[in-house]
Amino acid sequence: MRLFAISVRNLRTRVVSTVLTALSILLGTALLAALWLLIDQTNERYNASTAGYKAIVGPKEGAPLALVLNTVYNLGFTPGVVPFSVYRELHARGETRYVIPQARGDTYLGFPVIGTTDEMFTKFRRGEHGPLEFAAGKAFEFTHEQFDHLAEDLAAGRIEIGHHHHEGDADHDHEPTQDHEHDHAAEMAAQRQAVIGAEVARRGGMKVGDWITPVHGAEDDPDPHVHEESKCEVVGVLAPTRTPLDSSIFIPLSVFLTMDKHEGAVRATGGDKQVALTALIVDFKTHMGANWLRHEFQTRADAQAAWTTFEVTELMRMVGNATDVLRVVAWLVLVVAAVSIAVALYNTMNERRREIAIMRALGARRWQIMSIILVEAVLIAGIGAALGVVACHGATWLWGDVVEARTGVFVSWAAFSREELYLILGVAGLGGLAGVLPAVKGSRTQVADNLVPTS
Amino acid sequence: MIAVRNLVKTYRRGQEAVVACRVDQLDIHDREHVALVGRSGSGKSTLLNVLAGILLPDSGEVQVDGVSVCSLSEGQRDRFRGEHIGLVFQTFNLLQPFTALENVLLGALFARGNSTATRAYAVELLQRVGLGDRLHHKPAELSVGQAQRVAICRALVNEPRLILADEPLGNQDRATGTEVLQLLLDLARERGSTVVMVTHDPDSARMMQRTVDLSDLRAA
Repeated sequence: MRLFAISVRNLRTRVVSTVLTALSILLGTALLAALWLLIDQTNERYNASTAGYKAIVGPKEGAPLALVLNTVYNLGFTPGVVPFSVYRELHARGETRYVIPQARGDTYLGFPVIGTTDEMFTKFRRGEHGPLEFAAGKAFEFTHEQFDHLAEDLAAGRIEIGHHHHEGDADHDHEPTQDHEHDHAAEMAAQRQAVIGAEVARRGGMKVGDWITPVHGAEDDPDPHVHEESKCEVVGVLAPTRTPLDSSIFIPLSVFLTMDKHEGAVRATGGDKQVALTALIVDFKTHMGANWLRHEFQTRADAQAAWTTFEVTELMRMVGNATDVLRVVAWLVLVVAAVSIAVALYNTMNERRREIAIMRALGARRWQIMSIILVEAVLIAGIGAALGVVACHGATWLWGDVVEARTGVFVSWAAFSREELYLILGVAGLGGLAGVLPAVKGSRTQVADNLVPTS
Repeated sequence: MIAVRNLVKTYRRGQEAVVACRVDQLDIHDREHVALVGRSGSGKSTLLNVLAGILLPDSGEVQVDGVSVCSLSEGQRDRFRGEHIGLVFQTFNLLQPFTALENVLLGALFARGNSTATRAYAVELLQRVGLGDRLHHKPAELSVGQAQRVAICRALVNEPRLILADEPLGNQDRATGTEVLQLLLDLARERGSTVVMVTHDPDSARMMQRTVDLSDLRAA
């Protein structure tokens, strides 16, 4: 038997008080650990997620931050549209490394369905991570050139939005464009392919060969339109990136732009009818190119450029101020919990006077009594803190999907950090501090008075 | 073994100082078994606490096994008590959360720690007093007689030079009390321990080698 065993036995004897006190520590620690986990992983993921998105060119309407949040993090709504002419202009410039068009607004199983070209897989680079890798299958084929032709056809009315021709359809009632459209219909049927992110595959239980059916609008739309006519076969599953790309579904713009209810995909802009996109992902070969874009889009009326890193840094700075307050609150909760340890132990000192007197009579020195009580305090706090960290990760496991839906960040429940170990040790130390007063009181217990009645 | 000279111990009761114990001279020899008797309030338990180093006298000299108890610091007295003195209480004073074996081991923990040998000795003691099948029972699960036997084993586990027993028979019936006391004396004799026992019971006192009436030790 050791002093430690006495502490453990004492805690077990007062199990209700021990559990309740540890519970208050658990809650405080879980709150703090959750904040750390969320803030740190959000910071890390928000920063990591910006790789490849040097600049986003998008609609003039809305704040640049909204454009970044929508394009990079799949959050919020598309603030407006950017005309095809801007895409064509940027794509033609020599300074750009890539200009990748995006059109979004549909979902499948709550994941955003994004119309784009195959340059998302051939040219897009996630910084040092390189291009998007495939866990299974391959990219769909829909090139810039095909998009260029499609955009012209759509603008000229040679292809009609929402007019789909399935295999075996005999009803061709648009005579002037019948042959041309028939060719496109066959081509487009072949293009009904999708590439899905790793999280889509995991949570949707999907694999290459499965089919997705885009839904017009968000998942909770009261009157959703299910695009049965635009079912796409999954041809590729992306390798995990731990960014919002994992929760994205990519389909060819040809399919996206010609779906039913997508009449807004062709609009009159500046006098001409042209295809409308929601965003362009831009990267540059040189700083000169970036400077040109910055300068050029300061004054343009048809589009604006958002600089991803700048917007995210600003966002983190704003969020940081709020999270600092939350951190203080969490520490206060812990201090209150530590005080509850002190109170709980201090209150037991009266009922433990006899027990302590017996131990003193058996030869226990004051410091040994103090040690027993301090270890009890440290154990309550330490166990509470460890369970708090575990509870935090458990909560992340349970509600990680909700967090991702709200923040665009996939929080890994299994990622234990060194800081969490320090947190447990720190809270245990705080418990020890809380145990000092009861320990001193306990060690001062009068032996003779509490041991035997005087005769 | 024990030499007490001019001991005075007072308690404060409000403004008034009450003499709890006064002993002009008391000598107890090595391996002697002595009964301390006297009327209630004569200071028997107080004297036992002073001998154990739990209380310090206001004046006087107390030597136990050649050591001047009063000159030791509190920590030294705790250590001295743990190593050399075994205590048996009227109310047993077993710790409720711990089993019989653990209570006995607690007697050794603060003095010398618990080794495998100590544990084996504790088990042997409990078996010797007929509690071999009650090692892992808690005090609440033991009879009064069994609980006092555990307390005796705890007092003996350090093989102390001196055993101080304060009304060790407590509220036990006469047959059980006599049996338990005989056990204590037998074990003490086997180990060469001196025994000082406070008692009100003349039959118990007669089982000791000598009886000292505390009233006789006071100056008039």
